[in-house]
Amino acid sequence: MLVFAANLLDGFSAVLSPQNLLLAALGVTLGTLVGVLPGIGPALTIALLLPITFNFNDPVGAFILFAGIYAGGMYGGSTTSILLNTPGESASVATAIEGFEMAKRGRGRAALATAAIGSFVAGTIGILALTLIAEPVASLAVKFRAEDYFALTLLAFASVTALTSSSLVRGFVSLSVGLLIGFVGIDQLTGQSRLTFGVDQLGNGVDIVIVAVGLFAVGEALHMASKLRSRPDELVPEDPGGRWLSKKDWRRSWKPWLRGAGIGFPFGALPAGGAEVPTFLSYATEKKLNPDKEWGEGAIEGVAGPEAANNASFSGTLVPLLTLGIPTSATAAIMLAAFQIFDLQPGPELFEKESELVWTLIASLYIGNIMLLALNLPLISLWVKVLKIPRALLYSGILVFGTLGVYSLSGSVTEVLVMYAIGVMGFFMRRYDFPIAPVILGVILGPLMETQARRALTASGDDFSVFFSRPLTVILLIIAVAAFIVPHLPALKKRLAFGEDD
Amino acid sequence: MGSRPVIGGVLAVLALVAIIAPGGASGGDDTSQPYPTRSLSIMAPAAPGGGWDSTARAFQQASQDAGLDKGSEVFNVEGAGGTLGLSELVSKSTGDPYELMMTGLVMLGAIETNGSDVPITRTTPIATMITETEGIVVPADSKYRSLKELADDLKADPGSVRVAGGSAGSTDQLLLGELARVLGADPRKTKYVAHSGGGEANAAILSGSVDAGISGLSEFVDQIEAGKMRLLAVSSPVDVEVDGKQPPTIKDEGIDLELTNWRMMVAPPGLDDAERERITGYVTKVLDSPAWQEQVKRYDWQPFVKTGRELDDFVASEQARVKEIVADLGIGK
Amino acid sequence: MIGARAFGGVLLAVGVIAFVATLNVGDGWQASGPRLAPAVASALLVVLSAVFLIRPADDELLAHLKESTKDTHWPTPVALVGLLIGYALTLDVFGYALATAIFYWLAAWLLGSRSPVRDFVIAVVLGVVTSYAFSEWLNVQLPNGPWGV
Repeated sequence: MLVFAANLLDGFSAVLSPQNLLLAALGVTLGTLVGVLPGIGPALTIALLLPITFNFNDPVGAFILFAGIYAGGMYGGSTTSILLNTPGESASVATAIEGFEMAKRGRGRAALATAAIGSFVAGTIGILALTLIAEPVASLAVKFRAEDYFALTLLAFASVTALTSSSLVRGFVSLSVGLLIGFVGIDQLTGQSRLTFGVDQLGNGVDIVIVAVGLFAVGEALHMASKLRSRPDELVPEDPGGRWLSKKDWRRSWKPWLRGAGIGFPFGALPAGGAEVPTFLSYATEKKLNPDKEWGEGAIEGVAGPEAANNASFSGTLVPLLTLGIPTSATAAIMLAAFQIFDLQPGPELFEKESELVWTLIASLYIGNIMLLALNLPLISLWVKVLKIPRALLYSGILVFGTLGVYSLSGSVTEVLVMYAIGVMGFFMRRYDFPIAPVILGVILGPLMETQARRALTASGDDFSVFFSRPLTVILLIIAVAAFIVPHLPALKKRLAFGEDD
Repeated sequence: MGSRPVIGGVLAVLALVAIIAPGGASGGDDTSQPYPTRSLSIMAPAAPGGGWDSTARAFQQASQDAGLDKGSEVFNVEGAGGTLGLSELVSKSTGDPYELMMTGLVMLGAIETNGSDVPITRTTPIATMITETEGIVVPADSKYRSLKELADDLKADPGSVRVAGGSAGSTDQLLLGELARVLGADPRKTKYVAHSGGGEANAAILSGSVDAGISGLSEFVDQIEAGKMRLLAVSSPVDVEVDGKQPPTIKDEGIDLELTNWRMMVAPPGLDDAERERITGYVTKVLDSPAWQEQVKRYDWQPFVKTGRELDDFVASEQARVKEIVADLGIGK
Repeated sequence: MIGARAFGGVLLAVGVIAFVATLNVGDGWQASGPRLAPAVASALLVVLSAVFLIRPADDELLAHLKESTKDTHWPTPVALVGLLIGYALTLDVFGYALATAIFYWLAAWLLGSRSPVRDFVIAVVLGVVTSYAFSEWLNVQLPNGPWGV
């Protein structure tokens, strides 16, 4: 413990120079600006800036810049989720669900603030966890095999029932639509086209961002259009003198922050964990634990939890990257490339050979986190001005923005049209009271679950005993099945009849 | 409210000026000047951070450092083993000498596996640039001490050795298929577990869910040097040392097989021989520059340059070879 | 609830089409093959949307849906979908800047803005500035029209 503290202090002393602080500020600003732009995530931003860092003579400055860009980029992504209902990347999809509802009701300021502070809190927890338990977590994470990932996705599936609103039938219709969308594209394991109907552009599958922008932004715009003649302006103006977070908001936010961090970090640390599953798990958890809150109408828990999970999962992805040399996300892959440019080999030996640098990196992440909070909290008042734009212009702008995001992501008009088609579907789902979240969950979890199950079965030669041959798999499966059944045993019969418990 | 339209108007005028200004840069190409006479763009038909992306960006950097271009940009068109990028190049950029694309062996595999209807021969190949060798590894606690032991098992029962690697139809799977075929076993019976990237495949190998792994050697170097994996062989001769010694090739181990993951630069279809020569001249100049040598060293690549007629023959033979392996493996459709 | 039933019918049709399409994938039903999962998902959709068709809602929900869908003004969303499709199709033809300017201007009008001059200025600035910023500063290629923007 003392050694860690001393190491971290050394790290800080290496980072805390005026030049490095300037780089951190620059990175955070750049990252936020670019993160707000549709279709450009932190991975691409860092890739664009990588050549510049060739000219740096020590890697510390480059890492500080990247850490800042990353933190800023993630925060920028959640800003558009909240204000425009247009998530820029998969990790901020869950945030849009309640975040935009809050913004519509004059609580955009609180939503942005809980996202920023939650990211900071979770980032801090994640970095602490990274410094204290990276090695044991990594050695456990690397034991996970395909069959264990399958069991884990099954566990995540249990949360679907928490996401259904009025009836199980509607919820599962939504889920199966999501699964089908998720299976579109070239099968990763055999290279065969599935459900592409001869359209080349569908070969790459339908990106989760396309689904989310279609369902959220386009669906919402069409819904608003259908009500134009009958409903007064829906957007409630922000309270001009309002604080970022009221006392009540703090009280409602801090537990979701902690829980989100607790869910995000371990998932990020798993080599096939990612940020999508933990953000949705956090969303579902909050919904289950706070059933009496205004879900669907802007519950702050639904923003606080996923945003914290999102941020903690990034600290998590650094565990396999630094300790094993295994990049588990696009951003981590770019960071690995950056390491190699400075002739550093992340991996089992990095902590021993380059321990000073590792601690510097960790310290710079921390500086990026603080800088983000310091720069962005004051900016919130500026961001929420977006919501003052007249409704017609705002929604037209959202459509332009969403289209730009999908186009710059894929470079093809076909995917834009796919996004609009999903938007039309989203409109009808909204109209007839189908829950949207299970669609997203299906798109994320379906392919993940299928791929892992099939990998396990390919290796075992279609022998199902692979799911019962190791204690880890069996334990995870038992937890998953229990999570599915236990909460519903008494209500199951009742719920199968349509929505009587609502 | 009053001042807003005015500000908007000023902005509109500024914006119009902005679009007219760079307009003069585009337009016709003066063929009396050496290529390039204007800014060029290079497509990396994969995600940022991957092999094609880093090769394209390294080329861009070298070209800039050597002062050989008038500005360039790299952009990514992800998906389906690069075949989406390929069809975009052919459909959108035909006849445009300033739209280049990175490609390589992986794309040949993807074209066959995905049943893409655009063959690589539709493009105008300019030059191969580099190769990356493939490594065959096993976990440190594996019973296999040498490639020969693994080959014996593979020969006796191709399904008894579970192998992790990159996506279906990638160089990794092609190598496994070739290995089985050369050994006289049925490639169709091999157990190949596809992963979306080197990181995921590494995790699978370390977790012990497979018996061996095949991927670009650079993916494995850290793990080998940390003693978590054992390198059995590389797929082509390299002049790098891994863990302090020269790794044996598959040929050194007595199996007659060589396969390497090469990358090349192509231009769109619809260019005549003169245009092809101009672009080739530029690309080879970059590939000869010290700046490029530095990039090659930085990424541990092997330089590998073929152009013109020689390149056409090489691409045709690799294409035929890949077609055969994919058919042997029975993947895709 | 004719509308809800029609939507259920479309979902059912999608499920059937998807199921038939997956029958051509792979060469068997083995669990490690590429056919099983999409076939199961589409079968699930077929069964569930059939259940939904038979009984779209219970009385309470029915009342809620009647209330929430009663004053739908169809021409606006239909026109907006048309506008979106037109936007997507003109992107490659007119170039990003012009297509966006036209779409934004018309969409703003359709959604109830009644200041065409102001909207026109905003539309032009939005299209041109985004197009310029993305291609010049961010290396993201947006389609150029015949006039290079």
